[in-house]
Amino acid sequence: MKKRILVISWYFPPINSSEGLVTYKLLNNSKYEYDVFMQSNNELWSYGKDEDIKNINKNINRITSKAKELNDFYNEAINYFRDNQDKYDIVMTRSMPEISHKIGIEIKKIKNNIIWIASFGDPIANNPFSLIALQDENPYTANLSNFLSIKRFLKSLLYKRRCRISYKLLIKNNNDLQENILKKCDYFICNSVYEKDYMLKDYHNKELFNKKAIIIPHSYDESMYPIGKKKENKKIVFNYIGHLDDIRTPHLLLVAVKKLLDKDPKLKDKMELNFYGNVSDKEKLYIIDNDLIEIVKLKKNVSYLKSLEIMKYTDWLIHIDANLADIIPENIFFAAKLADYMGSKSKILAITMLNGISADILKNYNALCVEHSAEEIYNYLYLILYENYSKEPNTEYASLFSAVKVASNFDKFISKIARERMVK
Amino acid sequence: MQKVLTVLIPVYNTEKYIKRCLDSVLLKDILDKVEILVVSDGSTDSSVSIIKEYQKKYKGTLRLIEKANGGHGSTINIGIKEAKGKYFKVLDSDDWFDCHDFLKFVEKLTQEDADLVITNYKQEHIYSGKSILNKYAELEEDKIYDFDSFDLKKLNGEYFVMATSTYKLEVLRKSNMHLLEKTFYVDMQYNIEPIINVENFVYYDVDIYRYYIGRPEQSVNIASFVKNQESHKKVIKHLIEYYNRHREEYSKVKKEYIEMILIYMLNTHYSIYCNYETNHRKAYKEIKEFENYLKNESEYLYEKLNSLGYIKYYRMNHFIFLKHFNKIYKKLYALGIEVKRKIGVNYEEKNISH
Repeated sequence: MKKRILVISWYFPPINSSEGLVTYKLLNNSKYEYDVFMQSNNELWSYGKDEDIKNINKNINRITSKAKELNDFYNEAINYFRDNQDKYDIVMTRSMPEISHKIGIEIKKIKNNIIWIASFGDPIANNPFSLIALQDENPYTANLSNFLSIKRFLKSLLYKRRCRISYKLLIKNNNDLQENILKKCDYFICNSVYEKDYMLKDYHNKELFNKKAIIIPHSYDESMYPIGKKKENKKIVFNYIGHLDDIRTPHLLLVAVKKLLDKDPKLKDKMELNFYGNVSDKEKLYIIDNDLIEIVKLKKNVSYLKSLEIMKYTDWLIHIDANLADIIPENIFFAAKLADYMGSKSKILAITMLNGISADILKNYNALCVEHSAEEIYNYLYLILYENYSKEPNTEYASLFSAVKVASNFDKFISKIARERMVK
Repeated sequence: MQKVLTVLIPVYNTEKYIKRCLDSVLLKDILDKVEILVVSDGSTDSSVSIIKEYQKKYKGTLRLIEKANGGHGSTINIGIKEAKGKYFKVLDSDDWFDCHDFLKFVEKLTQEDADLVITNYKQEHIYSGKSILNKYAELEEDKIYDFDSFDLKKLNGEYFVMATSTYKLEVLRKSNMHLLEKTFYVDMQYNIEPIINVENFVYYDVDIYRYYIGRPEQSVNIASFVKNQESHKKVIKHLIEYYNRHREEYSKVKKEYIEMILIYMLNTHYSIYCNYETNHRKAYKEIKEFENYLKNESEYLYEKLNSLGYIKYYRMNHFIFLKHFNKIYKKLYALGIEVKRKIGVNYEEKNISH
């Protein structure tokens, strides 16, 4: 195959974002050549620019848009494709945000015989995170006294009705968009079977969509881990790296640490828990109010490469998944960071749902998986600190997620579809 | 040297949870003091291979018994027969112990001689991340209570359950208890039958047991009560007949205690038919049949049930209301639940209840 592949991705390094890094590691280890249409001005939902990532291979050419808004990005991408459509026989669009797939739909209209691969970070339809966020608490039903006022009762009814309408509309739009993408694309990429099954569960034409699906897991790039040195520390150091909020929350972990501290006032001599990345104000207050500041440290954001170094030279890495048990029976989210964690070959303590993709992967890696229970987390912290409990990682299993291996499988897929369509 | 405690872990296809359970009891400082007896009840998943790995590592402490499937009761029966510890405690394989409090508990147990040791437990509602402590708030720590002269008011209407009870092994053996096999709710047998031989008990204010509730519906349990109503009937009939046989051997306090538990169970049993069984004709037939049984088998329990308003009311109209108008009643009941949910009834701590 001689032609380059066009990739549409809102995020791509140097914008430091999980979505972009996933794509970067895959393409950078692929044997094919890519033009990546990306934006370089909007750092929303990202962790800023990370100029450290310099070893971008010659097979990747970045085409940067100056767009700050999604709509402008959309228009610029379409214009770019109109002007350059003869250069490409394959286009890959990468979400989130889903604007790139909307571009894919339009590209397919412009050039019907192009092979379009839609690569999904998260599902668009019924995304459990959106479902949680949309289920805002109704302020009018907070307590019994609200029912004692007719005015409040009526306001409550109106509020609920208003929410329900906008909620239903948003769900419908997302469902329609995802179905449209799956219909129009030639192939779509999911990062796990769980994600794919969740995305396809409500469709009548599931079998047809299933044939278009390919699983490309997240990967780590061994060559990116800096060589450093583990700091001498008498304490056992736990590090969490990444973004936390009120849904993916460290609260239960903090409650567990607080319980340990109650039992052992000298806990600060035994353990250190570091968070690199955003932690919500609520949890910051919890740390202050419960005198955890000598044990729990909130660190500044670090570059991606620095984060890999931290991962490599720690006692334990902490992984936290959102507790979505009220919404879905199994966790469908394969956090990209997990692949980097495994690439570091460090021990992992994961707080996750026992059913789902994270638990499946982590158990094979021989990580320590606990559920969303402060008591269970506490118990294992206790075992680690006072009973020398350990879980040695299965590095052989981890190697299944090396970018070289994953990209090689991706290349085989590209070769196959190129052969099938006789792209030359 | 005799081990101070046997922890019996019944296992049936709990590969996802068993490590957490075993990790919580195999603590280095007490390995010579406890016996971990794991009984696999015909597990078909990888539970047994996981346990065997632990058995290799903890040879003098962990013992695995594999048997054909016979239900939870059968594992406890074999556990009581095989146990070697002075005390005996059951830990279900999806539950776990708090390591710190378990260490403390075992240390205290080495100096203990009471027939029954009572502790607290926590419900772990994993789906919401909430933990609810259940404790006997009015019991004094380390005080040895003589059961026959115990003031039951201190229990605030609660009773000792499997998660909170650690029996002396000889008490269990002396009771000749044989839990029903392939039957649910046999824990009620475990809560009741050994009491006949319990002369005294002690309360430790430690929260050892972590009771796992993975899904919201597990905490309500109504659906499973309806589904397993035959098991419930079997156990309750067994216990009523057991009590009748031994009634004269009990002291006044023990009679009151056992009858309190039986009334709770009967309340649940009547609720299944009066509130939850959706086949109203079946519910009517079952309840009439059970009413006859209870009247014949235990007139005093039958009469005591009149203290429950809804039962007295149903009896007054011969349960005809149940047969014909229950749909309306259930709708009102469901509305009540919905209102309760909306006003956000939220307990952080509560006493133990059935």
